[in-house]
Amino acid sequence: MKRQIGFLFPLISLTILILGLSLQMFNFPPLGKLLDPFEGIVQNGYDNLDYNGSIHGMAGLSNQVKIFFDERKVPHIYASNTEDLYFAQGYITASLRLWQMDFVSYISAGRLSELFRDPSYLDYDRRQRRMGFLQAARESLSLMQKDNETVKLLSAYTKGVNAYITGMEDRNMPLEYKFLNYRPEPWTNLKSVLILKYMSGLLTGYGEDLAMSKAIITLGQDQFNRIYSDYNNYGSPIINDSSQVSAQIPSFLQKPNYLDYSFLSSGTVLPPSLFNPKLGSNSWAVSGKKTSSGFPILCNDPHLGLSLPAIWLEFQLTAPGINVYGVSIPGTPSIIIGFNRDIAWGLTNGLDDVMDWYKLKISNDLKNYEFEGEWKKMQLTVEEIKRKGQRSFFDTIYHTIHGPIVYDKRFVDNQTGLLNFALRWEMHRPSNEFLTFILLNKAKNYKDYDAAIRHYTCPVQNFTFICKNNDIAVNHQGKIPVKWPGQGKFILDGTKCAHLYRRYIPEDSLPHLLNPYCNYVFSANQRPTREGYPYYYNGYFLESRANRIHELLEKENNFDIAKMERMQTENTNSFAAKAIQELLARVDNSSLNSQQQHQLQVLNLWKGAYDFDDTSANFFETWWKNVVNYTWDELKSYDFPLPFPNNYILLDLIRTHYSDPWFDVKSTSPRENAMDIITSAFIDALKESDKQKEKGLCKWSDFNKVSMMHMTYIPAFSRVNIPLAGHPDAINATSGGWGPSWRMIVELGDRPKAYGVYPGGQSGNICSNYYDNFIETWSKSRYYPLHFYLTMKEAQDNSTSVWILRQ
Amino acid sequence: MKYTRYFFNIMLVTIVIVIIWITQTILSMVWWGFAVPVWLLGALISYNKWKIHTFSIGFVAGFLTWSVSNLYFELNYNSEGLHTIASVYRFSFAILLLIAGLIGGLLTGLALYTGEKTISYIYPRRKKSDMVKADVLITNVINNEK
Repeated sequence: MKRQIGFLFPLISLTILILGLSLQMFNFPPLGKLLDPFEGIVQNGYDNLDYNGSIHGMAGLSNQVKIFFDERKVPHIYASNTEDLYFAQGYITASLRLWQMDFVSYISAGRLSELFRDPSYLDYDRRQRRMGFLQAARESLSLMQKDNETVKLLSAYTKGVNAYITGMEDRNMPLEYKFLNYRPEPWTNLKSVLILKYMSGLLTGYGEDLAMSKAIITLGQDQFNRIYSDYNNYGSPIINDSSQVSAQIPSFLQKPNYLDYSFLSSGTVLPPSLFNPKLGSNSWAVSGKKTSSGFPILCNDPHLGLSLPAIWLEFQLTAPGINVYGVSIPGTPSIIIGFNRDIAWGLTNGLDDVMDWYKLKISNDLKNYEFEGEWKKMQLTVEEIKRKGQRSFFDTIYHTIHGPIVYDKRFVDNQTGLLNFALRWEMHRPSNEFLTFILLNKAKNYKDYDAAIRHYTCPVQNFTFICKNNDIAVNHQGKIPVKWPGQGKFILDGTKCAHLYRRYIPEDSLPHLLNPYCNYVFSANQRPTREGYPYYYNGYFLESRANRIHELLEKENNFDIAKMERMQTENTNSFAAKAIQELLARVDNSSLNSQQQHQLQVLNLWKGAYDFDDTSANFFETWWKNVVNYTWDELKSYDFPLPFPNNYILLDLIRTHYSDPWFDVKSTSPRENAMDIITSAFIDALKESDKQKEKGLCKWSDFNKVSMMHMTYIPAFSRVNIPLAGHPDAINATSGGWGPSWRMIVELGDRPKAYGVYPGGQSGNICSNYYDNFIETWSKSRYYPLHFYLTMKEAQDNSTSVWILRQ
Repeated sequence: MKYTRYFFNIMLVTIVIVIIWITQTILSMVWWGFAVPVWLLGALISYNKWKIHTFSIGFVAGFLTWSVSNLYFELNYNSEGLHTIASVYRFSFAILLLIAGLIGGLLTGLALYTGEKTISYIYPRRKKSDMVKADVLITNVINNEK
């Protein structure tokens, strides 16, 4: 017995120890695997970017491919045909960013329950499946498979990724896999499409339909149109042509007859607004007639969530018929924003509302819905959600002609207001965005560019374009349904045929400009047209940056790269510059003490700049925030919160309606006017500012901190609290976790000259020197020269390492 | 005698370290794969009835391998991977190395010890009192024959 215990005890202890160190325990990853010196985390210190030599076993390549890495480890790929080129792009992307692209595909598909046990991930996955991401990706993939070129290049990319996964040794597996205790799965074409749908969801997934419906019912159409108007007097639209005036589309929206309290569920809870006003971008193009070189210049800085690994990956792709440089999204082939020898292009978010909710009338047995007086049977699909360590969850989703029912009694998700509503989202319609970029990458002129962007449907994007021959253009591009005035701004009636969209705004009628007389084009998420455009459309447009860009482009006539760099990193908020003057003019000086008067004098000198060391910027922010809160206090008094109206609307109210009832603070008995609000807001702001000064917070950069979070939100993998200049309403739109995810300036000519930077690094390996090495340059508003090589010899002569992919 | 014993122990520790290195770098098995040949070594030690404190030898060898190897790779690659992981859990790098060493030490020590005990289980050792009885038995047989 003693002998048996003497043997069994150590054996069992050994077994338990091995098991315990191989599994995730509490919040600790498997410590045995993690700290193993031979295959654990320490092995991720090996940086494959330091490798120099051949890589064999590339099944799927027809010829060898050479990749020259420059000093910033941007890969310059030289292939002998386009299939090999995209294969190589897939291989390199996987080498550098495998976990990132894999993880995003899981997020998009609603598969996080396979990786994490926490039950909240099941809710997330159910939401993703019901919102239709996976289904949309499947349908788009079916469409893409009908286009030979797309499927050929997409499949080549997939093969490249899989070649990397197959050849990868366990010790080189990305750190995140080890940390989260799972392994990469084979890549598929579907996963690439899922990544596109994820981007689409980020850029169009916001809606205010329910809030606006509540607003127009509660406030009445007159007040609604005063404060939630689609247009204001401060825009700088894409189309300047005021001759396109049409009396047919009024900007005043009538309250739809069907929309009343009984139409909307009573007692609905509106979820907090997910609107992210920082999710926008800037892009402008200037013809050679306004540049000192005589050649056109294009600038683009897309604003996205700043994350690590960075959202973009730089490449130069070269094969017969194609030589293009720019940034790609890991997991998808081709260059998304960039340039070649002849053209350059940029992207900004269109911000059109392409997401609508239809209220349904459902039968008692919950299997049918009414449409034009008849019952129609709902179609149903069953989504299997696999779960780590548990049986799969099967979610039944009901579909109507409008789209899926996202929230029902089986999945309420705090959205009682949208219960049993069907979702119509343009993202659900099959589309082939890849073809747009495949064609743009090899486009040589405006005609090629125009043909390429016609394949682009969702999300609506503004494309800016320049060509070596001095053509410049901007296109508000995508599928926008033809709507009656107000359609889509409010909840729609799912029982009525008249509420369906029947057609889209014709391609040639979409807002666009080619070679305007002013010799520049620009887009910064502003409303693309003035009133009078022949089609109604609504969206979440932002005017401040566009206004400033317009001002600067109008003033200058001799642009060069240095001036563009200063412009692209400029910190002036044109809204604030206007608003401060209006506020200063309306403060009641007589009621202020000497300290307060002094502060007014200091503010008088401020021109709206959110510079690093500025000491007035934060005061204005606090002052304006108070004015907003005190004016719109009524909107917070309802049992459902309403979004605050556009800042320009309030500015107009201050200028033109001094005694408007909106300025009356409901909780006080005297009746306030604009001056009262502005003065008390000022006094309260000064008190707050004094408290902040006591804590040592004074300069704008003390308040404006930017963080680039790793996708796991682990601070040690992220870069947090970087003090910066900038503001969401300034061209340099840095704030919180958002900002210019890529800055690019391109001047075409005999040889394109380009400069760029993004806040991150080429490598997704946390241990690599190339993980975050660009951040300092980016945060100091500096740029790197982008090496666009015309020959392989140039690439070779300037390379720091070379990979040769061989069969 | 004393120095021979020390030398023998050091040699054994070195052998165990080499076994761990060869298993994990050349054979590239699962992360705990080295426990199998170490277990075999423990069995061999017991089979040959070498008087070794198997757990201590194994622990020292495993501790040194895991902690020093992690340090070596971290310095060699000039990266801060382990430092980063340490900061995730708010340990110092030294504590993390210590934990790694403890894991390696415990596993190796237990594997070597289990190997020894396996042989003891299969081939039970004769007790000293039994050996004395046998001596008496043999002496009696010889005397009877005389």
